[in-house]
Amino acid sequence: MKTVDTICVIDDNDVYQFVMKNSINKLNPNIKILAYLNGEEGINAIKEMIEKSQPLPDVILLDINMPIMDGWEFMNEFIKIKSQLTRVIPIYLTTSSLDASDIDKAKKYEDITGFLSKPIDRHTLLKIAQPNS
Amino acid sequence: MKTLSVNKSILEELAKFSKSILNFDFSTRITIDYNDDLINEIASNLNLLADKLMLNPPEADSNEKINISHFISVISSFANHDFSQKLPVSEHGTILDAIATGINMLGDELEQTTASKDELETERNLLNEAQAIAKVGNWEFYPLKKQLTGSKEFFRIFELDCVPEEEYYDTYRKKHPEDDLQRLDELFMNIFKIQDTYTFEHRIICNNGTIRHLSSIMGEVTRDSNNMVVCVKGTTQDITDRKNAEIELNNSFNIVTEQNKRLLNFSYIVSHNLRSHTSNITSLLLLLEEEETKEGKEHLMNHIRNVSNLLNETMINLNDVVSIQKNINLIIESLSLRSYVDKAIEVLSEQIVLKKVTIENNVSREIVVNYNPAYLESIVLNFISNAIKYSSPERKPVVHIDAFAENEFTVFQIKDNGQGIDLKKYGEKLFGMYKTFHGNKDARGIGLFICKNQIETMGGKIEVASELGIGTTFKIYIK
Repeated sequence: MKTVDTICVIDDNDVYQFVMKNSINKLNPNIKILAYLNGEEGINAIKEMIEKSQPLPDVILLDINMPIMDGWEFMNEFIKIKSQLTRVIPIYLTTSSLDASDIDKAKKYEDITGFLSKPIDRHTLLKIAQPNS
Repeated sequence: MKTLSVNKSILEELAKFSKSILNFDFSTRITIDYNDDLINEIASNLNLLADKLMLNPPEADSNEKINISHFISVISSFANHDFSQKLPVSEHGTILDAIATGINMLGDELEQTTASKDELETERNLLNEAQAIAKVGNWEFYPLKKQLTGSKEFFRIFELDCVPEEEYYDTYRKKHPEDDLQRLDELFMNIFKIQDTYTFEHRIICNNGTIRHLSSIMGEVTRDSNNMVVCVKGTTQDITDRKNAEIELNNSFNIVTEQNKRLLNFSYIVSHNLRSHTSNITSLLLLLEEEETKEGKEHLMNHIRNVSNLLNETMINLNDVVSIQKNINLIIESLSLRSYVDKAIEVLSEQIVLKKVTIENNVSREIVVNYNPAYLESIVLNFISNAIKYSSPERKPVVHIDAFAENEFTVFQIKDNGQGIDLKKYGEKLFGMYKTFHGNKDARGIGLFICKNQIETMGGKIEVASELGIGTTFKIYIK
């Protein structure tokens, strides 16, 4: 059974980052967490991983509203470097308010795997961490 | 209808005759510009003359008899009708009869002409009146000669009444603002292509500087044998009132749309921010329940306290926003802009010293604005504070504060040489709620949003120019 090794969390909310780290840790302490506070930090880190041929995250949890580079802008940048990826990385949009316009917008991005409503419950987190279980 | 061509010499002949037979002398009143009253008078006297000739035929050997044949020719030319042709000139009575008939006819015709002239005049007046009410003037344009002429209303619309006639076209052209003039010239240049009627809208600048909106229709086109356009006829209507109503309607539509957008944005933010705090609290409580160590519990409690504070702050911010959105009856006072700038600089003095910022305060003490005091304080403080907060570490920070008049506005301008904002990237979001751009830890993303709302509530607007690494200029328009 293949489990997820690395989860990338892109979110500007410190408390949310703390909560995610704790919850994932409780679920499986072996899962590595990469935390970035906005889209720009996130995309730069992924670019660097590609450059240095480092292992990429298995899942990306992406917030929509962030300063400097928001979730949509991150997606636009991600599409540009997609061809350099060796495998598909599922990207989940995480948001506290499921807005209809956001859902419509997300449909235009085929690389968005799904929506996750905050707070993310343990059951959902488990599904993400162990996709084949 | 036959038009009488009355000329002075004929009238003089007639007057001579009228004087000798009728004792009615109007010779002294003949001028080139004979008027309708005179024609009427002549007509009724000619009728009298006819009656008199019928009753008292002149003696065969009298002077009157000699004059009769001459009189026939005068009347003939006057009436544009040859009476002598139809007359057997032998019989005395018949001649007189014919003369009388001729004079009668002439008199009637003169009366008719006057009547039709009156009718024409009445119709012209009605037309002028109708044109003035409808604000429609008609015109004729002769492209080859570049000549323009038109109705009274046309001249009124274009304020052409005190211009020499040969300058109509030139003055007409120059009344238009630059971009309209280009279109107009192009249109007149391609006038030969016009097959059908053609409607176009244009604007002119009136003598008092206001804009007049016009709608013109090019109608009938007259061409010569070479198919060159000789004359174009058309109408021009002053549609300023309609246009202004349209603009006003559009403005209020934009305001409503803007308000709607703001409301939607607001509800989005409320739901997003409040939910992000509550979801954090839920998650933290869950972790707290499962936490076994005392240190861990304490740590989580700190986080919950932190989120609770943030939630409180969010509520205060939202409250600020709501209070602007619902503020309709604001207190407006005459305020000295300078004193508000001075006050803000004083409040910010610590940061100004700390960051070694030079403030160039050029706001004149004479400038008085009608504004809500709380809003003015908030706006002045926010923009000066931002200019200081986002100064560039690469150069000595300088902030220029100016105020000047621009159209109906007083412009309050804050120019800095700070970090600048990439407007291409963030322009749309700059005034959005909870948008921050510099990664500054103390940026709350609420100041510009509130300021923009306050400025717009006061009937003004805000403009921004910025270049990354050069600086930012904010222009606040105060009505």
